[in-house]
Amino acid sequence: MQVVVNALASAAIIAPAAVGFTLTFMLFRYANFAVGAFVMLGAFAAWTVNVTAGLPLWAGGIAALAIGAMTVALSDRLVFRPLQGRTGATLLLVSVALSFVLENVIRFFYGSQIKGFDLPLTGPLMIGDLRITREALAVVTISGIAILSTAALLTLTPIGRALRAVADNTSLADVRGLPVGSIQTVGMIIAGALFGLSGTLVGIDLAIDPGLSWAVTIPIIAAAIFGGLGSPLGAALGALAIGFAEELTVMFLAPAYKGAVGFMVIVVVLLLRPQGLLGVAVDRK
Amino acid sequence: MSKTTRRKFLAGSALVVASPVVLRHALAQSAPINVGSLVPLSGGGGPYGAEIADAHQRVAALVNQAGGVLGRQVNVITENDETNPEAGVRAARKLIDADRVIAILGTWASSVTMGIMPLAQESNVLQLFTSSSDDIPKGDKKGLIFNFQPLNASWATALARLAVRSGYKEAAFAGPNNDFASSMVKSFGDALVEAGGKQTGDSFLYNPNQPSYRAEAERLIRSNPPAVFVPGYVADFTAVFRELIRAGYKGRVFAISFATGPQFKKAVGDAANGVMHGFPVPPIGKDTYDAYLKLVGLTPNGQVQNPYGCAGYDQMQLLLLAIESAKSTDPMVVRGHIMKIANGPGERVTTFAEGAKLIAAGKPINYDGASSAVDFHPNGMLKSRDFELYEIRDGKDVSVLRITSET
Repeated sequence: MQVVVNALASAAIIAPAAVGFTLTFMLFRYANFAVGAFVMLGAFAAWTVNVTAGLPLWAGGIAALAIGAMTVALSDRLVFRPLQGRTGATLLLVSVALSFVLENVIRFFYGSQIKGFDLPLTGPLMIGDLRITREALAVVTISGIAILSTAALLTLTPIGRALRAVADNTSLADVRGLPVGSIQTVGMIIAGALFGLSGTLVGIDLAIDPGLSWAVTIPIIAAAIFGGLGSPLGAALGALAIGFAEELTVMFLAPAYKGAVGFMVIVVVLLLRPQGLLGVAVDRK
Repeated sequence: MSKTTRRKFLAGSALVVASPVVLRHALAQSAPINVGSLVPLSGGGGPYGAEIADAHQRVAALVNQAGGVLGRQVNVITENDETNPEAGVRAARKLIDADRVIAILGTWASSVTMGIMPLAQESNVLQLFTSSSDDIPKGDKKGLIFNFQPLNASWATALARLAVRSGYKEAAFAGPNNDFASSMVKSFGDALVEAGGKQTGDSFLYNPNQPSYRAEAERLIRSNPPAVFVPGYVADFTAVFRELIRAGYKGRVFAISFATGPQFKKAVGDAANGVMHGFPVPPIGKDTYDAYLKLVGLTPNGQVQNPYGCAGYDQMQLLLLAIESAKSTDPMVVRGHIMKIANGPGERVTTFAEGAKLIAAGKPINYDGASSAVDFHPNGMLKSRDFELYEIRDGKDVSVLRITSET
C-alpha cells in the first residue's frame, strides 16, 4: 500500500507537465524537449515569489503558472512559429537547444546554487502502518484538480472544442473560420501553465537548481508516450504508470536502474502499441 | 661592390632557413605560460568551483606582478566542467588543443578528473586536482597526476571511525551512482567492521538526477537502522534528506560536509539540526591557511572557509615553483620537480616568492601548503589530511571530532 501512495505522489508531480507536453504535441505535432526547462523555470518563479518576496507558496505557484504560460507562449511566437512547416525532427532539435538556452539564462541570473521553498519539513501522518506526508497530500490534490480542470476545459468548453478541432485538422479549422493562430496560442498558454505547476510541485520534493530540467524531461515524455501522444487523460495515466514502475524498480531491483525505467517504457510502448494507452492509431500515407 | 661567393651564399641561406626556428624559440621563451583552470562552476561541485578558480587566478596574478616564472607571465585559462565528465572532456580538449596548456588544475569530481585523464596523458599535460575515487591512480601511466585530496578509502575509513566514536556502530549506506560514492561502499563497510561496528540494511547506489527520491529513502530505512550514511552531493543529498524526514526517520544522518553547507541548511531549515557530517579540512590556525584566506579577502575565524580554494592555492604555488626549479615548462621535466618540492627534503617554503629566492640561491625547498602539508606518495596521491566531524546544532556546524588520516 505504501508503494501505491508513493507512486501516486511521484506521478502527481510529473502528470501536469505530461499533459502539457501532449497538448503541445496535439497542436503542433512535434516533441518539445524543452519541457524540463519550462518546469525548471516554473520552480524558479515559485521560489522567487516564495523566498525572495516572502509570500506564501500558493502565491509562488500562481506566479509559476503565469511565468510558465508566458514563457511557453513567447517561445512559440519567437522560436517555433517562424519554423512552422519544418519537420518534427528539426523542431525537436530546436527545442533541445531552447532547453539549454533557458537553463543557462537561469544559471546567469540565479547562479548554480541549489534553492528550496520556505516550507517546514515535517514528519508523516500515520494511518495504521501507512505513512502519508502533508506535502504528498497537497501535491496529489492540486495535481488532480489541475488535470481534471484541463480535461473539463478541453471537453466541455467552446475553446476546448476549438483546440481539439485545430489539433484534429488545422486546415479544415482554418477554412471553417476558426482563428487558428489565437487558438494555438491559448493551447500554449494552458500547456505553459501546466509546466509551471509541475515546476512548483517538483520544487517541493527536489532541490531547485538549473540542472533539474533534465531530471524531469525523460519521465514526462515517457508518461506522455505511454498514455498516447495527443491524449491528456492518457498522459496522466502514463505518469501513474511511470510512478509505479519507478517505485517497484527501487523496491525490488537496484535503484540505479530507476533512470532506465522511462526509456524502457518508451521502447516497449513503441514496439507493442505505438499509439500508446489511449492514443488513436494513425495511418500514414 | 662585393661579390657573392659560394661561402657567403651558403651562410646567408642557412641563416634565412634557421631564422624561423630561432625566432619561434625566442618567442616561446617570452610567451606566457598557459595553465588550465578546469573547475566545476555548476552542478554538484558548483559551490566550490569559483573559489578554486579564484585561488588559481590570484596566485598567478601575484607571481606575474613579481615578474612571472622564468621571466614569463602566467596565463590562467578558466573553463567550467559543470561537474560533468562530458563537459569536462570538451573543455579539456579545448585547453589542450587550442590553448596549449602545460597543466590542467582544479578538477573536483572524480568522474571529470578520470574522464579527462586519457587526453592529458596522451598530450603529456600535468593534472593537479582534488578528487578522491580509489580508481584515479590506475589511469596514470606517466607520473603526471597530483591529487590534493585523500582517496575515498581514507574518507570512508575516517568517517566510519568518527561515526563509531560518536556512538553509532551500525549504519546503512546509500550514495549517488558515481565514482565518488561507488568506491566508498566497500571501504565504509570494512572500516565500520574494523572500528567495531557493522554495515546494516541495504547498501545501494541511486541515480543523482531523478524527479523523486521517495522510494530510495523508503528502501534506506526499511530495516530501521540507527544511522544512515548518504555521501551525496548537495542537490541529491538535500532531496534524499527531505524524504527521510518526511518518512519519519528518527535515526542519525551522516553526510559529507560539501553537501551540508549553507544551501542545504537554508533549503531544509531547522530539520538540518542533528545531521553529522565530515570531510577533509584545511589545517585551521596554520599560517599557510591564514595566508590563503587573507589573499582571497577572508578573515581567519577558526572555522572552515573555502575548503577547496585552499587546495587550488596550493596547486598553483606548487606548479609554478616546480617550473622555476626545473627551468623548463616541459611537463615531463616539471613532474619530477613537483614531487621533489612537495616532499622535500629542503627548507620550508609556503609561497612562490619564498621558494623562488631559495631556488635561485641553489637551495633545496619543501613546500608546506594551505590545505595540507602537501606530501605525495610515489603515485601522486596525497599522504595525509585532517578530517573533521561536525554536528549541525542551531543551524551551525559544531566540531565534534578531528583525526588525521595517514593513507
